[in-house]
Amino acid sequence: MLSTMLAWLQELPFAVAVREGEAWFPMLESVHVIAIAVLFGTLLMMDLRLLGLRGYRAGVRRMIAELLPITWGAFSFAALTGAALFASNATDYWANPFFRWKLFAILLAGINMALFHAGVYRRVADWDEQLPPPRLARLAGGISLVLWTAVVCCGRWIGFSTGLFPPAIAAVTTPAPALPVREPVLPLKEFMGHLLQRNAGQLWVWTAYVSDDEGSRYTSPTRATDWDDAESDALTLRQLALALDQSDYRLDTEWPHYLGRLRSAAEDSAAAAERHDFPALLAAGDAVNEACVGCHLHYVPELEGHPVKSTR
Amino acid sequence: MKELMGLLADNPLGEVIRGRDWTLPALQSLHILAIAALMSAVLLINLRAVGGLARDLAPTTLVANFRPWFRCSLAVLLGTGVLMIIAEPERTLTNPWFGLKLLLVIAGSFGFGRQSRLAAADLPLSRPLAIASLSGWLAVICCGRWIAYT
Repeated sequence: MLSTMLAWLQELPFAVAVREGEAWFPMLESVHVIAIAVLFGTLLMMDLRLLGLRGYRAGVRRMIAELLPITWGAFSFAALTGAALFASNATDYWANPFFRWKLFAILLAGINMALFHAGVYRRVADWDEQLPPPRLARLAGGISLVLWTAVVCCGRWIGFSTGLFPPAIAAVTTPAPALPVREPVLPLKEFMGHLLQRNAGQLWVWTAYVSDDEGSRYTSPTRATDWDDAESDALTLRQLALALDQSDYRLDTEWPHYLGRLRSAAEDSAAAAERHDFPALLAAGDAVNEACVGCHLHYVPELEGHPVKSTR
Repeated sequence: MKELMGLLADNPLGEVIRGRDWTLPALQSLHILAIAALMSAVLLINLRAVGGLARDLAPTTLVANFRPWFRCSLAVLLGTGVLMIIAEPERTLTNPWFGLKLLLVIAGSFGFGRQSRLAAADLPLSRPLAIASLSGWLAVICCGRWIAYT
């Protein structure tokens, strides 16, 4: 029932537009953040005054009468933009525990505010300029500050964890699971030095040209297991090229083009090894080298000032 | 720029921040909380300057009250901002939105001192300046969010 409604919501035309348009999501998010800034900032002023800090004016009553309309205005903007952002990916957000905690904290903050206004605030005339304010007022201010801080933090954590909670799993694991934040990728330099260089070197072992007492020849794969190993090296290289072609590593718009060359050369190498076709493996090995050199010349030309490992 | 990015990418502090799940979202949360504090101080001072709020108080009262508030939140913003750059130099340093944001923050921070004096003087110029200041800080928030999409 609920999942049907969420699915229906995120297929509404405006939800699809927010999800698939280039600019809608960041625009809505900008307004959302501005609204939250004004909302939290004005609440911060009131809460700190309730906790006993001197505000920009002496009387609590006038301060609240002046700031609360701004807070509510900001809350409406935050709620509207938040609803639109939620609709764009309703199923994922609903499955995200941080999203639920955020809603829960807003609900608690609302209850806290209602209790404050129905309780100690009715007698505000007695303590309007009193510092520190009565204990119940300080309590309400402190609770509000903690809850709204939690709202902001949960909101930011949602962005780091969306898509990691399939609805079916989230429904079972109500207690908070381990923090679902993406593991950081290996830095590019380490990736190049430890993974790519070593792997390409291994692949080139099968097409190296050696001269020794027995004469000059290629160290071609001979046994079936050698060809298998060569294919494994080529397929690993292909996967490494794929792993590099993501936003964490992208240095400019040419990046996918260079990685595409590397991947296709690695695929040719794998195909050649599978066919036990040495001339093709040699040509594909050269293409791998050319892809490396071309990419280095574009991004780190100084690297190619050093002798390049030759496949010939 | 490339050398600087290389240097930052190898920075052990950056590795520490990237190596833990919670550090980046925590820094960003703190950054947003500080934005809220700064933004609302700017909002109140400028609303007073255009006469939309607290007309019984002198503009100087609000400026004097929120100056330490502004400075503290700016310090937190710069601190968390620098840590986020160290953690993800390639996300920020080459990003055009980041450059624009930095320019606006510098203009806004220097402008804050002058503009608050003008606001206190209640000159005819203080109204348009207040509107410009408010728009500038709103643009800072927008730029900050667009960094994530470029």
